[in-house]
Amino acid sequence: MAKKEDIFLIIILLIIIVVLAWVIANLDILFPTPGAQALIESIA
Amino acid sequence: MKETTLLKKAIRTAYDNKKLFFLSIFLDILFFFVYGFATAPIYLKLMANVNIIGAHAGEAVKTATRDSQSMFSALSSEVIAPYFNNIIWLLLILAATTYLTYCIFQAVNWKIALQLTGKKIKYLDYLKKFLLLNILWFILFALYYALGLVVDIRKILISTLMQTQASNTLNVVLVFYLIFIAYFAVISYIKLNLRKSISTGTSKIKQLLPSILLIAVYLLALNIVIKLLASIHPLAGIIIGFILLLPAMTIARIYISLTIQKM
Repeated sequence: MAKKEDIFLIIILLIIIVVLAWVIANLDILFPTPGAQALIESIA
Repeated sequence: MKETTLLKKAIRTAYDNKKLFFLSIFLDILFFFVYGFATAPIYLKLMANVNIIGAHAGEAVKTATRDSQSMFSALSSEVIAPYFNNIIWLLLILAATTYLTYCIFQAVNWKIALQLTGKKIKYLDYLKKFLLLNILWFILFALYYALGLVVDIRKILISTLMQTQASNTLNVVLVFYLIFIAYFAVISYIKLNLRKSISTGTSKIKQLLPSILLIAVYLLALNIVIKLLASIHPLAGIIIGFILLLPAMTIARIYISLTIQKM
């Protein structure tokens, strides 16, 4: 039978994996960057 | 026992335990794919932010020079600062992703190598120690990465501003630093104790060096062969590279595990 601390480790790891996967899937929303056209316009 | 005898034993062990041997190879392939898929969007986002900073850099440096400000204040200007912060966050996400994928997949592979060489340990127990040990190795590796970046920037600045070639001394020092990290990290994956790993690594260096040199020479030769093949036919280079590299990685793990456990 799995120990309590093993279950705790698995849960913590799963939470971190889900959070990281969510962050990676939503990089465009979390770190918005202007497109090439908008960038050229902002510099000009 | 001589190095070649241990190497033969490692190959024999892999041959006698085909299931675990192929599982280890499969996990290495999976690791490369998962790592690639997970980090590719982060690298793309990093590049996008670096490009934006690059596009605004000229103006920011001009303003900083005109107002006698430091380069740091140029980076913290209103236009650049958000993208500079993004880069720091993205690097942290990249580090966490790398750390997690590396630990989860490589812990299984090192556990397989230990199991094949007679050391019994549960995966979760091994994973716990592997996660803890790698915190130190990852911090040291991140330092290597950051120092490498500084050395490269210094090199570019010297070659553009002074019109001379910078010496490669710092690069050589960094390579030795990386070898130093890899050497003790590998020992710790088998010893599973930092203090014991450091004492074994320093006191048994003479016995360990031939085995590590043997692996290093093979990987170096493999690197040359793959590069040569890739220049002739890129796809052939990748396929043959994988065929030669993946079994070698698994055998190398078993071999190192045998060598260190014999001490």
